[in-house]
Amino acid sequence: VVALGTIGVVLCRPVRRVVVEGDSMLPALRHGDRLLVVRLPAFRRLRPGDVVAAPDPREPRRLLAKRVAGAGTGTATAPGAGGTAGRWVVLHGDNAGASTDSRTFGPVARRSVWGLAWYRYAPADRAGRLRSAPADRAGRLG
Amino acid sequence: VPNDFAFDVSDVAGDHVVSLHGQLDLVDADRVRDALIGIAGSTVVVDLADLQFLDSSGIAGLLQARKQIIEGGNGFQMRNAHGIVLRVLEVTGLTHLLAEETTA
Repeated sequence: VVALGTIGVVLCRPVRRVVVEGDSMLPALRHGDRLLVVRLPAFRRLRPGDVVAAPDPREPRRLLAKRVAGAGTGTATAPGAGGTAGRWVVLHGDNAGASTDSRTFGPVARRSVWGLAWYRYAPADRAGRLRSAPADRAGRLG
Repeated sequence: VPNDFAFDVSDVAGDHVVSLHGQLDLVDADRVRDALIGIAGSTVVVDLADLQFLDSSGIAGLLQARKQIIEGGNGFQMRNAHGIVLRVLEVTGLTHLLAEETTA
């Protein structure tokens, strides 16, 4: 059942290919890593620790790859940054010192998150499914 | 309804980059298809950054051009889809045809 579910997630959903630029997700993602991002519609739950792709709220044509550090419903704001109402997620880069993320621009609307970074297809020696960090670890990293 | 579709071609690093502007629908789909096929000779990159709308005729035109260009031995890429155009590619299951995007 798990295998079927996995195949379903991959085969039946829109997929985009992205190339990681920069060091904001070190050590999990390196500059130049190539990822498959699988569409996760807004009704799907994101868990803390998942790596997702979402448009940069300050520059929507730019795509960000970040880890979900928290999620919730209601009105959320960050000090000195933007806020959002409804369902929201907090996105953090694993490498806080080199990441522009929710610590700068605040939480983002859940529906703005395009999908889950699911698989690294290059470089070949590190290819494979991306790990979702456990929530407590993501919290520490964030 | 005014039809403000336009496209322009520039050569970047040996590729033919075709930027689409406005709304691509039934009115212009064949014209774009023929133009894309006509300029092939090296990789054709279709830039969707300024495209505001894409309908099924437009998709058909792009896919027909893609097929012919690839059969002719050249590369075909689409890139920079966003908004409604990206949504159309999602529901038609074509996002995997988009070129790799950079992500920060």
